[in-house]
Amino acid sequence: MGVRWALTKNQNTEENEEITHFPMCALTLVAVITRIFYLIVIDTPETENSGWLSVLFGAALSLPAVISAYFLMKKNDSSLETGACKAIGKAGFRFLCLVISLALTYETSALFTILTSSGAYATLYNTHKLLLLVPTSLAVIYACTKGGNGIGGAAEVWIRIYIILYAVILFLEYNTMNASNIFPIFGPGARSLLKSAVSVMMYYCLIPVSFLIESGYSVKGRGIHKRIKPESILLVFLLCVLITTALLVIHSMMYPSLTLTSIKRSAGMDLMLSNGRSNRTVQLPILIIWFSSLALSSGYMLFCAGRLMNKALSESGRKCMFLLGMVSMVIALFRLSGQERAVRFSACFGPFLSSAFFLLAFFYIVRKKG
Amino acid sequence: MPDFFYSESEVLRLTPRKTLEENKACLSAIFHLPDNMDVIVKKFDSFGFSAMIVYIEGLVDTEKLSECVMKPLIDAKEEKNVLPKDRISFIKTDVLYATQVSEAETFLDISREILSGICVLFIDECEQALFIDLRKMPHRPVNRTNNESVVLGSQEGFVENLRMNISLIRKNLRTTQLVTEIIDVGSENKTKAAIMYVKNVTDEHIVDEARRRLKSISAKTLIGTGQIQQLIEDHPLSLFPQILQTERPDRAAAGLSEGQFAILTDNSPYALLGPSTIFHFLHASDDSFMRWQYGTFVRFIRIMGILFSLLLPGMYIALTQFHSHLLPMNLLSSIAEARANVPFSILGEILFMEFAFHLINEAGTRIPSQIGSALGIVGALILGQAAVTANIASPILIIIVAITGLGNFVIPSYALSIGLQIYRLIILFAGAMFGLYGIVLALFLITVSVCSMRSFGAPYVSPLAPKRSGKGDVILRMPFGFKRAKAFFEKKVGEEKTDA
Amino acid sequence: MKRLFCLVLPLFLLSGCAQSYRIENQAHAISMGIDWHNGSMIVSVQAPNLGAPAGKKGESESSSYQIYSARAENFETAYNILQSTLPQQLNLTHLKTIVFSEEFARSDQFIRTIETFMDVFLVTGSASVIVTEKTAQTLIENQKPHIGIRLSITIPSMLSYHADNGYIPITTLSALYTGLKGRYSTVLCPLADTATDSDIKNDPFMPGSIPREGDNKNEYMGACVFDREKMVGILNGYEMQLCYFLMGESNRIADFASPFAMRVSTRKKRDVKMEITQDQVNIRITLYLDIATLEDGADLSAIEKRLVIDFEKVMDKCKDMSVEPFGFARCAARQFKDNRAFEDFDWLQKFKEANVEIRLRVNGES
Repeated sequence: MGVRWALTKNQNTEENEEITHFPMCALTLVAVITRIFYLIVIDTPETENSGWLSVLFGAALSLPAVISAYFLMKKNDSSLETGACKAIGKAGFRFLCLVISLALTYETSALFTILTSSGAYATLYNTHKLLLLVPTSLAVIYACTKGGNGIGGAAEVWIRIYIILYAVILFLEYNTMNASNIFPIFGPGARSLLKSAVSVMMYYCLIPVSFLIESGYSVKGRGIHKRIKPESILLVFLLCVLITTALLVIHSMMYPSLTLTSIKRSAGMDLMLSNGRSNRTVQLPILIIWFSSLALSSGYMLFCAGRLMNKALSESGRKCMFLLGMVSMVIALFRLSGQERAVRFSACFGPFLSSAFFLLAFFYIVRKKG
Repeated sequence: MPDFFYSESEVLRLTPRKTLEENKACLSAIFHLPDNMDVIVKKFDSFGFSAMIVYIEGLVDTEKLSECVMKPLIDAKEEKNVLPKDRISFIKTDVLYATQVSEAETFLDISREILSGICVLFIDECEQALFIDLRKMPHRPVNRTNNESVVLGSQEGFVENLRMNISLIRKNLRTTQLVTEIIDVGSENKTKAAIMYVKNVTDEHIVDEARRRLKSISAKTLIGTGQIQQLIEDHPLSLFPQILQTERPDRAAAGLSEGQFAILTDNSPYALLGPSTIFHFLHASDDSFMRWQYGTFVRFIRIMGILFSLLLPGMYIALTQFHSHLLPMNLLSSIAEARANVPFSILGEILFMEFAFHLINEAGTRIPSQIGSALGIVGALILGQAAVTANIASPILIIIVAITGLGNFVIPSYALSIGLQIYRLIILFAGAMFGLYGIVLALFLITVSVCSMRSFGAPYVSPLAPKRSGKGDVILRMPFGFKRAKAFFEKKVGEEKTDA
Repeated sequence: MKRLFCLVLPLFLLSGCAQSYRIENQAHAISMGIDWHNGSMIVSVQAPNLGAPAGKKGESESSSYQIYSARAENFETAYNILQSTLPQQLNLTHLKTIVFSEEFARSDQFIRTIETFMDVFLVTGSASVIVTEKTAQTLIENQKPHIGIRLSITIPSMLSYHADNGYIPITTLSALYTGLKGRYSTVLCPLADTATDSDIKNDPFMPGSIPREGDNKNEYMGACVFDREKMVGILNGYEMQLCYFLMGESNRIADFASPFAMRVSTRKKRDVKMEITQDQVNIRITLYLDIATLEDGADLSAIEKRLVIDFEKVMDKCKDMSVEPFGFARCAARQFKDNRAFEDFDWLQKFKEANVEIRLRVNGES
């Protein structure tokens, strides 16, 4: 026929690989809140009903990192990347990106594991894990290669759905909530709360990471650029802390704290989802929020990993995302990102990430003065 | 046998010949005369020299032709001594009554103009030809819209005539800022297309992009807006339509005033409006014609309908096959009792009924109106009591398919409704395989792919995601006082512009 | 790459098909009963006979619901026997009631079986737990939709009706589990019994001996009390009604322990004051009640006095059983720093020795 599409090939590719600030903030909110919520509820059930305190401790621990990032952005025309490059040089920055990217790849695989095992837990307990893992990870990889604004925009859409669904959950569960379930306030003791706070720290430190990959601009309509304000990092952080704490307090009020003998991942799921297997209407919104927020968070982790790898190695972002996605699928396949390992990993990487941002600001000041 | 012989390709490059015979030979080569009988070639004498008029029967107003052209030419028996080179201008200025007269350059122009219904006058010993516009194309009068009918609001629809359509838009939008650019589209058989936009409202980048895409279309034949739309959209592989095709001049005018551009072509009773977001496809034009409370309520019902149409079969299969605990026991036992006699799996049952529904739907579109009533009977039999009595489907499934179908019909855009039908099937399969997990995963992928789309540079799900300051008219219809007149992609006056 | 995805995705999606089931091929149990007798366990389930429409005129009721049971040494084996002999796959997600015989509830098997339930058998939070004095099997056999058509509707509505009147608590299986495993509360479960002709019918507050007649043989009245491990005692219907007030749940009861017709209801939330020292607990609870009498000249102060004595009796009975179902532990927990401190305090023991003062603020209307 000789028909040729009039539009030039890959016309939007460049724009699509980037993520503008509204979608980025939305995606970060969903991912950080989701990850911390599941870390407390599922991965560290030993925090019992005082997990929300861990979240606050974690926020306090990661505050220096966030403030350092804010400082760097403030000094460098809202660009964290420029600030980081000025502090430790281009090569140093690339190395930092590489390390964070690899860590996030592992984190992606941990999320794949949570996603598939909760899918299996809720209904598909007879389905082989592989059959769940492969389509799940392919779906997430596909979503990431669709571009940052695709997955970030999806987060913006889903946030609105979550608000509606959560209102439904609160309406249905209003009677089961009892404020005295969150007492004694320190639950299992400050020591064990602080221990999980260190894991929580890692996820708050992802907020500065998001501002590393963000394009710095918001395209208004077409053609009109608007720079992101450095204050948005503080706003996102504040929102994450407040929302996560509120969600965990509400969740703690729904169930009395239990003296559990075996602390395994399914203990938390038992409380939340199964009730997950019960014939209660509230399960439907819970399951929808559960699955979709996990999918979005794993998309976020993979997208960040891909973009950082792209910054580190100057390879195409899509290629990086595809390859790293495959890697995380393989890690999950060999069960190397189970509950215990993932918690231990975040407990180690959290302090590293936090101190990395703090040191960036420190070096920046030293260099400026020197 | 003619004295001159030309091949078709070489003749198109020629300018009009000196003698009438030569010119006739050229025309014969182009139009395959004398086999082609609706191309009329008439020779006559006038003012002492011979002339020849060529046109296509049916495209020309013959009454006007004889009144304004033939009569003054043939009646002039007296010989005037006009030099051959001045003959054309003499006839153009002194003889003809017709108003739109111009001179031809090459046979390529001549052939195009003849095809578009223009008469061409050749004069002996004169290497020029004259175009006389006496077109009278067959077209239907302005009528009610067929597919975008509304309860409240204008009932006018576009017709198949470009000029008429442009004037319909101009009638709705009386502003000096409204610009109409005419572009010939297509590589061989050019179709006339018009890009309309409002200066200072529509972003120039968007118009430039639209113009560029239209000009670079290399298809040989374009029948109408349907093909153009497919050739200029951003994501040809996506299931979502990205350019709004409307047959309502008021809607086109509203779009133009919000910052969209419109593309109209000859022979299509539609205007293409771009950039379009998904919300343009969900809004009907009477939403804003009604008071805001009614508009909001109707829109809410519509969105619920769309959700039902998209999710209901998938949810039904997921809930019955994987999450039966989420159904109330009473409903569950009714479903189980109803299904006890059905031999198919739930998936098979749904697919069968969905297929039957689509079949009736498609048949309803194609069936001649005289035997249309038969369809109602067949439809009622297949999707009704008979199917239940024959144990092919359970009654509850018929309700589900019916609600799904109804939900699908409330979508104002036909293109979107077909896209969503395909998505419905995808969700159905995802639900059949992984239950709620599969459905959520499918919805996740759908939202991601929709959010990553753009229409002429404007994000497809904006102003929702990415968030844009837009008019208060996305899902809820706010009162007019709260509403900004323009869309988020309009041109911002006074803001600095940089390239994207 | 897009094409690759398009090809690979459905391939893997297709392979997930194996999991699903057809609902018409499942036996959705409505009730499950567990009996423990002479070292063997009897597990019974009651499931509607789907496909044969329930409650059609002219059909006998028994054909709509079928009961299957199996006997073994432990729950898992009995359940497996049941599942393998049942004509359809047993699905417990829609369980409305789980009935334990008192003998089972008092046995050492109880806590172990409950744990198995929650871990393995996907039993849900929505099933109400009932304890019966005779065998669970008998109770289930006599469970019929007497007023109504479907058991799945009539059972929950009946339980909530009785609970509204204050005679029984409502406890779901997951509430029982979290209660047994939780830190503070003692769990109460509804008590039921099947009335037989040989029962002596003179106690209006004990199931099985309520002086009444009717088609429905099952009677729900009172509550049984669980400590951490098993059932330790019984509260009769009247005690349960009083217990509701002490627990602070707003309630409205017809007090038929009194010599004349009257209705007692909560006016305002209870007020609990607690003084906790290292070795002594003082609790002062104030209840705000409305008392409506249908007869003139009822002596409110006498009624108040009688109620206080009855409340104290319930309190003492619970203390004797070493249980505390009133939710005081939750209030007490606020005064502790963490769980360890609370556990070291040994609340139940301290409660047993606690001074509890009950005050009533009564408004009378006639």
